[in-house]
Amino acid sequence: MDGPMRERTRALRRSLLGIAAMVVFLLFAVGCGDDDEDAGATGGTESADTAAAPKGKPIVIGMAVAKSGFAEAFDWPPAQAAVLAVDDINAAGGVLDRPLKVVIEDTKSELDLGGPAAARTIQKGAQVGVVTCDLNLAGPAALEFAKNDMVSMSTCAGDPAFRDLSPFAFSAGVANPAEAAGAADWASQEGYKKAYVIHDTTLSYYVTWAAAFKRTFEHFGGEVVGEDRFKSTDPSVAPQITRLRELEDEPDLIVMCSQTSLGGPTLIRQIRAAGIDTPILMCVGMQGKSWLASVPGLENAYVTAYSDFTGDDENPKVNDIAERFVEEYGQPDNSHPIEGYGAIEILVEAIKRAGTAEGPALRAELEKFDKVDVASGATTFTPEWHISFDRHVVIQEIKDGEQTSVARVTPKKVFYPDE
Amino acid sequence: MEFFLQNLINALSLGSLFALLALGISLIFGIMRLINFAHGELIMAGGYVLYLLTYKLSDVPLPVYFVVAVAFVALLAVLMERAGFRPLRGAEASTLLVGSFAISIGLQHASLALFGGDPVPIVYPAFAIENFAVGDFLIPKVDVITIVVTIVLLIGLAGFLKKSDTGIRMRAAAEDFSMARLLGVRANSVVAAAFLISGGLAGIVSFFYLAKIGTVVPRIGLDPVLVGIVATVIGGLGKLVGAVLGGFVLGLVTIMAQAYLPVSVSPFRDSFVFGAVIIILLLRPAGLLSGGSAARRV
Repeated sequence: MDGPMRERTRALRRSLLGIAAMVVFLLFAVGCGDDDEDAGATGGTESADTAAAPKGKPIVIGMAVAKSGFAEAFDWPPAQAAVLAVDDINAAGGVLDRPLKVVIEDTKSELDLGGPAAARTIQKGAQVGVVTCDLNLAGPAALEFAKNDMVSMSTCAGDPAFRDLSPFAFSAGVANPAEAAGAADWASQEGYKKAYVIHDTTLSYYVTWAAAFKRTFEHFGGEVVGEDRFKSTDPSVAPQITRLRELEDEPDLIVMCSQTSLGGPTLIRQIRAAGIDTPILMCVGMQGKSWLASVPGLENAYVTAYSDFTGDDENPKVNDIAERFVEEYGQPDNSHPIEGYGAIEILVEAIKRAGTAEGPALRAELEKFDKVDVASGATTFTPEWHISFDRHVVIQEIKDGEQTSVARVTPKKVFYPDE
Repeated sequence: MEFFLQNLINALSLGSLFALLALGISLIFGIMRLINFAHGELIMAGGYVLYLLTYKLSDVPLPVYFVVAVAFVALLAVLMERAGFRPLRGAEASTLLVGSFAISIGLQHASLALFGGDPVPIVYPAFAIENFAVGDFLIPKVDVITIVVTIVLLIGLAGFLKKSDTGIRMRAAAEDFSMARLLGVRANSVVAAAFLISGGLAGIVSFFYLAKIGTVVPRIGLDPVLVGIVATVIGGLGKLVGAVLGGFVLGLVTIMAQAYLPVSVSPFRDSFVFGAVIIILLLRPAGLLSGGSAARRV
């Protein structure tokens, strides 16, 4: 073929390829499109004489969570546990004789998809929202719910600033000053006196956790002999390690707060590689077994957890939930799912007390919560703090590639952010 | 003084990695005027292959899994070119850039779908976390090996580019692509060779880069690729030696900023590092070793 014909053929081929690619892509997208899962009254193993099936109009819970994307790893398991809770509550007769119904929309871990995901649940009848286990990621969805005067409950976000986000936004999680205080209380009880505190600077969670730990540890009589920061994305934390090694006053405990992807494991790995065998205490962001293999033989290391999700918790109800979760979904990497279960229990209790799922009434009831007992622990909200500061914290020891619970602490003192 | 020397060693090691990263990016840029944002995903891919071969399988000897990982990444790079960039050959620079973003995001999400978002471990041999004790200094063994490997690779690459037929053709294509084609250089094979080498470099980088980290996540390539690009730019776009120099400079500035900035200022550390980059570019807009061919292109 000569010149012009060849060009045209090539152009035609390119257009056909482009169209074919688009068709394949569209088919793929449609096939894997947003799920609309309705859960409720599905408990597979209900016996014949459970409470009579609730008859009233369903109360719809809209979950705008990360079912895919980077946040899925920590956001989806609590959402799955929330669905378990809904099943349990329906099996026990529902709320105000009405069944619970769940609609789930995927935020795909993207900030700009949170609002639309929440809006879709509202279109599907949601009266109450459940949002992502992180203040920043949950924000857009929570704000969308708030725009419609609906309460939203984060499964497990730990940042205390929920009330600042919106008067309708709450978190069913543990306020991170309380988590840090639990860690500090335990450390002090265990006899540690000199802490070296290092934290990741990429998320505010790490910064506030570290600050709260220091303050509480000093309150309990400990001394912070050194502090440092690092960035999760640094391939080399050698300067920080060098500074640690050069500390005149050697710490008896290294305290660090980061997360399991990237930076956290790197730091632990390089600390041990430098021959530093000092005990290490880590925040809940480091909970999870997936990274342990990258620090072979790690021991003398501890991490906080919201509960024990391997059947070893002090609360038999938690063990029961854990067992069923594992049966249904497999063993999760951390204990965050229990917070998702608790989130539903909190909402249900509030709905019972308010007599309605309407936002303003629900919010008023939530703000009166005083040590209400749910699977994830004692839950207290006030008009000023939409997150619990009086929860317990579990300390787990890392040894032989396993995490084993060794203590459960309800801290004797928690510093509120404005103190 | 000791602190300074220890950090200098750290800087050299990091600089070597950055230099190899920059080299991989500069090679492609030189020939195709394309900044390959998907270069980071080559490192990610290397990481996942290492994970599969060292953690999912056991008893695979180091030489085997190292070679397999590097070869896989090199071939992935060639495939990336064939399927992703060749159809865009001759398109505007902005199209190429967006194309490389698309490939980058696509590969990240493919890994997310295949392996999940949780970090997965790579089981390195003991040397990855061992140190040489020299007086009061701790010199990580992996750092020494990285520096040595980098030097060997640079010498090898320089020799290849100067002496071998393919190398000479690649340099010709980088000088003047159209003229080279007119003189009989086959565009496709030169570009494929460039991607093969770039991919091989990325594979080697992934082994050493991840030796310090120990785990892989889909997003692990994001930072290295930015570093590689910045290093390429400050060294002088299109100049391979410049890219290497840029890598070492960036490594030095990064480690020194980490080491010497007061703790209170450390959240702003990156501002300092990139502030330094801005100053370098203000003083030498075309890079430290201004690439002559880059200027002539326009």
